[in-house]
Amino acid sequence: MGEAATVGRGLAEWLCGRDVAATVEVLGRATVGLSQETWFVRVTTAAGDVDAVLRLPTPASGTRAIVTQRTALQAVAGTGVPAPGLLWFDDGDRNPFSRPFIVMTRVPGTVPVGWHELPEPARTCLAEQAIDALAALHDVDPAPLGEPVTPGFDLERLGRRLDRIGPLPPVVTGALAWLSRRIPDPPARPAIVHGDFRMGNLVVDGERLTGVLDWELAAPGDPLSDLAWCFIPVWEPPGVDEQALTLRYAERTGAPVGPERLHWHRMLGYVRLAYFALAGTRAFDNGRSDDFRLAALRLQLPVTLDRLAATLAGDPVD
Amino acid sequence: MTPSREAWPAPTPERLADAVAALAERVAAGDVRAQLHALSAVLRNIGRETLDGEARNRLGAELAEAVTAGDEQRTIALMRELARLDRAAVRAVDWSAASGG
Repeated sequence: MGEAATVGRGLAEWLCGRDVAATVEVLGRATVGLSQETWFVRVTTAAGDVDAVLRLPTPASGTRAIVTQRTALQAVAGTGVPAPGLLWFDDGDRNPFSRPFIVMTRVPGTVPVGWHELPEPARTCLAEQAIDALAALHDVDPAPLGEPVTPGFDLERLGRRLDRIGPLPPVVTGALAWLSRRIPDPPARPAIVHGDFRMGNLVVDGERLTGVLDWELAAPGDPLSDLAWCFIPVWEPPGVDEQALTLRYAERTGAPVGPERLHWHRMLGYVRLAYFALAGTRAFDNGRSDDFRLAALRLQLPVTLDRLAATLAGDPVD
Repeated sequence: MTPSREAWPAPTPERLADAVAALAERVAAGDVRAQLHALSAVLRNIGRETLDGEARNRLGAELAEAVTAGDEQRTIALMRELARLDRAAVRAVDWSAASGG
């Protein structure tokens, strides 16, 4: 039996154990995403067909990623945040997959790699919708996700992860020194921070933002870390009016955006991006993954660090 | 005729990269196409990591000294210089192709 058939049969079996008589057709597997397994499925019950997405953890993501997504999706359900609806989940490993999983509704649309791929005026229109969605997210009660992460802890944790990788590029060391001298106070009002809020995790249907995906990094924390991250060029500069969108965010949330605090989070975001490149490169080099995209991430590292240094020096980023 | 020191002539990384990129365009499966584009980018950059190695090593050492000394202005200037040099060595990746196929 192929992998897809095994996945379909496993989900049908699990549903049957919960008195849901269903057939499951596996429609395909997502090609993007570097950590979790993502399967597109059609679940047919007496009530009709539901197109859904099954997510399973991998050794790279860890099982906690799935439980975090489940908690976050439950927290934003019924709010103004466009997100997939949670259909079924299992936090444990006593199921046909022997690991936690979630099944959520499939959001219609496509996921552009970055803002730069979208033509104007759709890009600005979608960026405004994204900012509105972010403001709505930051208005949701973060309590179900646990204790807030302070900026100081965020930096310390990232520093520990970088230490585990080994000798760091000197530019990263310089950035860490700069950050550690300016740690902002904990936010006055912590919020649910998505943790990877950017175009590559937003579903677009025409000129409409239909969903925010990939909630595995969600945690309570400083909302400005999300605002800074959504403008950081993960691949290419976004080409959106950051100043106007920041003003829009401040209007929607009713809270002023401190430029120094935002700048600190922008720098932290660049260091985080460098960490992802270093960690991905390492995963390929030590044989934990055969994904050539992880091997290629080493080539994005100098680009990210050049943008980091330009931002720190107050120069334009290209 | 001058004898070659090599048992056979190796293809250049650039040539291999072009061939892999061309192969990617003939593949129907999006995930395989994405992988081939990523592989092509890696091949295209093999050997380039050592370009300007002496200057980069010197800047890296100076930067480490500036960080240790707490000289922030010099740290930022050296970060800028080193990062610019590092980036100049890289042949850019087409991430749209390498991510989406």
